[in-house]
Amino acid sequence: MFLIFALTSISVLAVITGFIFMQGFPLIADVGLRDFLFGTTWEPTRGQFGIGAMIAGSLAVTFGAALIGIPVGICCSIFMAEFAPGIVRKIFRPAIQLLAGIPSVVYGFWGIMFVVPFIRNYFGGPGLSILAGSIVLGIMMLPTIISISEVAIVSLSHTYKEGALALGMTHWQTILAVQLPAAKSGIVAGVILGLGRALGETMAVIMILGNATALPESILSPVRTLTANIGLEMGYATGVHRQALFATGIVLFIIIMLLNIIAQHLTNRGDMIE
Amino acid sequence: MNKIEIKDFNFFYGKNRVIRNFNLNIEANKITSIFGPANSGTTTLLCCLNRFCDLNNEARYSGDILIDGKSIFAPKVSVTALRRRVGMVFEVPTPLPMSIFDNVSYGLRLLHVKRKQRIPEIVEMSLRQAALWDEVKNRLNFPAASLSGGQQQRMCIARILALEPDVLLIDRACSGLDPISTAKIEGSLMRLKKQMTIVISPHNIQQANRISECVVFMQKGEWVEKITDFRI
Amino acid sequence: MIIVSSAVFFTLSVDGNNSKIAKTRITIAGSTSVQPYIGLISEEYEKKFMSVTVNVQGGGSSNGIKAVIDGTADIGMSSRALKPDEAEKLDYIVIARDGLVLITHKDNPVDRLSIEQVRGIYSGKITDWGEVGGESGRAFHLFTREAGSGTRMVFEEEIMTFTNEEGEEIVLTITAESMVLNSNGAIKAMVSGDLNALGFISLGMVDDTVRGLQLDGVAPTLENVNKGVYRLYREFLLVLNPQISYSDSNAINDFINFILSEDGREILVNESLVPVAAVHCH
Repeated sequence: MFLIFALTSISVLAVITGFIFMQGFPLIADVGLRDFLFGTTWEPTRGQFGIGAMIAGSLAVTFGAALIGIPVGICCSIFMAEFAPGIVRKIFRPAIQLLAGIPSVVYGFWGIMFVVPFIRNYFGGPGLSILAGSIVLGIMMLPTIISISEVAIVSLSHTYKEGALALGMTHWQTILAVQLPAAKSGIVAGVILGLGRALGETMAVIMILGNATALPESILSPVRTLTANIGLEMGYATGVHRQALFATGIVLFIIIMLLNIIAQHLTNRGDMIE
Repeated sequence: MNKIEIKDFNFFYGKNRVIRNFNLNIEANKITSIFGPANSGTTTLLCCLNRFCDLNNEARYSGDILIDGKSIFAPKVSVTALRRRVGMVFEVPTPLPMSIFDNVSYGLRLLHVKRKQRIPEIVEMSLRQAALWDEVKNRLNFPAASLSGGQQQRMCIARILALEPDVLLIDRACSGLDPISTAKIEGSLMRLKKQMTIVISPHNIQQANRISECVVFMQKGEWVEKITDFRI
Repeated sequence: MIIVSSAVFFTLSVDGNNSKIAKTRITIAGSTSVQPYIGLISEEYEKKFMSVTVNVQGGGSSNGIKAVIDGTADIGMSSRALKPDEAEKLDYIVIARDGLVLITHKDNPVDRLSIEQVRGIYSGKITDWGEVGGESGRAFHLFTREAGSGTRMVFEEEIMTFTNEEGEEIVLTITAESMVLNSNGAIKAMVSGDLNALGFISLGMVDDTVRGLQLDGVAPTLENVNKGVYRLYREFLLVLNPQISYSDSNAINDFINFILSEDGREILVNESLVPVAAVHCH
C-alpha cells in the first residue's frame, strides 16, 4: 500500500526529470556543451545561447547569500539553543516560522523598496545588484537554517555538555568544541536546504537583480540567475529558444543535485566521528 | 587535616530545600562515601562541591563550602579553574565525540600545556591510573564511542586525572558496570587516594565498605550519621 | 392568479433575454501595456451590462496572441504588430495609438536626445552621459523590457533597426548590460529613483515622477502623437480568432462595439491614448 504511494512520488519525479532532459538535451547537443555552459552571450533572437553569465550570476548571488545567511543563522540557533531564556525562546521560535512563511514576492517587494535604493544611494551602481540579491536571499535562508540547526543542537545528548563542563570548559568552549561538531550533520542539512532555496528562488530575484545578461563586474553589478532566465522568457519562447530554456533547467537541476551529494558526503563523514 | 569543610550549607532548587543545614569536614587523602537513599540529595551535594549546581537557573544556596580553607563561592573564584581542581565523574559515562586520545588530552590542550611532547606521556599515565591503558594502548585513535560502558567510564576518570585534580568526585560511577570493571576502578581509587581526596557516592553499602575510610549517611538532605573507620 | 401569472411571465421573459446571450463571461489576455486600459473599459462595461463578467489578464503580447490562436482566450491584447504567420490566422482591430517615451530621472539635466543617440546608447557604443550633454563620468543605467514584450519589440523596430548609407537594413541588439524588468510600472519606479537611469515606457504611464525626453526635437505629448509628428508610437490591437463565429456571441460583439463607441473612446483619451478605429478582417 505504502509502496504504491512511494512509487507514485518517485515516478512523478522521474517524469518531470525526463521531460526536462528530453526537451532540453537536443539544444545542448546542437550548440555544444562548452559553448552553452561557458558562452557569455545570450541573444536568443540571433541564435546565441550561452548561459555562462547566468551560471556566474546564480553562483555569485547564492555564495553571497551564504556568506550572510550561514553565520547569522548558526549564531542565532546557538543563541536560541543555549543562551535564550524561556520567554525569549517562546517569542522567537514562532517569529522565525513566520519569517519562513512570507512569500518570496513580498521579500522581492521589500527588496525593491528598501534594499535597492539603499545600495544605490550609499554604494553606487543601479542598486539592482548581486549585493541586493545576497542580502535578500540571505534573509530568506535564515528561517530554514535557524530552525533546523536549533533542533540539531537541542537534541544532542546532555552527556556531551556535562562531560565537557566537568572538565572545566567554559560554556563557549563547550559550544564550539563539542556541541557544534556533534550537531554538524543536522546543521549541514539545514544549510544545504537553505542554499537550495536560494538557488531555486525566482520571483524575488527577477525583481531585485536587474536581469542583465552581461557578466557581472562587481557585487554592485546587475546580474541574471538561471532561474530568472527561465522565468522571464518561458512565457513566450518557442522552438529553439524554448529548448534552450529547458536546457537551462537541466543545468539548474544538476547544480542542485551536486549540492545534495556534497551534503550527503559531509553528513556521512560527520557520523563516522561519532 | 580537612580538605573540604561544608558549613551550615543549605541548597534550594527554586522553593525546594534539597540540602539542609549540612555540616561536614572531609579529610584529605581519604576516601569518603556519602551514602543515602534515592533523592536524598547525594548527587546534589557532590555537584555543589565543584559548583556544577550553578548550571540550574533556579539554584540558590546559603552557608559555605571551603576547600583548603577558601570559600568556593567567593566572587573572584573562577568556576572553570575550580572544576579542574575538583574533577567529577558522573553516573553515566560522558565521552566527548572524538577519539580516545583526544578525549583524555582535551583538558590538557585547553590549558595550553607547554611542551606538547608531554601530552602523550600524560595521557598514558592517566590511562594507567584508571586501569585502562592495557586495553586501549593500541587503539588510541578509535572513537571513544566504540568502547564498552565500563571502559568509557574509566576513560572519563582518566580524562579527569590528566588534569591532576586535588579532589575527585564520583557519583555512583559503577552502577551498571560489570564486576571486573568495578573492581578495577575501585583498585585505582585506592591507589589514587594517596595523591588526592576522593568523595564518592557509592551505589551500595558493600562498595562503601570495600573502599572508604569514612561514611556519611544522608537522608532528605540532612546528614544523619557519620562513621569513621567504617566496617560492617 | 394575476400575481402568479405575472410572476411566471416575468421569469419567462427574463429567461428569454438571457438565452439570447450565449456567453456571459469574456476572457481577454495579452499585453501588459494594453491591460490597464482594457481593465478600465471592462469595468465601465460591466456596470452597463451587469450579467457579463470580463476577465482581463496580462502575460505579454505574444502570450495573448497565442492564447487567442489556441482558443484559451476570447480576445487578445497586443502592443505590437502581428507577425505574418499570426496575421494569417487572426483578425485584429486597432483601438488606439500609444506613444513610447524615453524617460529619465526628474533632475537629470538632459531633456532631449536624437534617435541616433538613443540607438548608440542602447547598443552600448555611447557609455557616458557626458557624450549626450549630461554630466560626464556618469555611466548609463539602462532599462529595457523582457524579450517577449510588445513595448520592447516596438522599440527594437523603430529605434534599433535602421537603413544605412548602402541601403542595407541593420538591426542592432540592445546591449547585454542593460537591465531587464517585466513591466512598465517597474521601469518607471526604478528610473524615478536613479539619476543615471534611462528607460522607455508607454506615454499613458508617464507622470510627474519621471521626465519624458524630446525625441529628435519633438516633445512626447498626446497632440504630437495624434498629429503624427512624434513618430515613436505603437498601435494597440485587439486580436480575434475568425474561426469562432461572433454573431452568436453577442457579449463579445457588444464589448468591441463599446470600445469603439464614444464612451469607450472617452475613457482612452482620459488616459492619454489616441483612439483610433481601424478594423482588419479576413
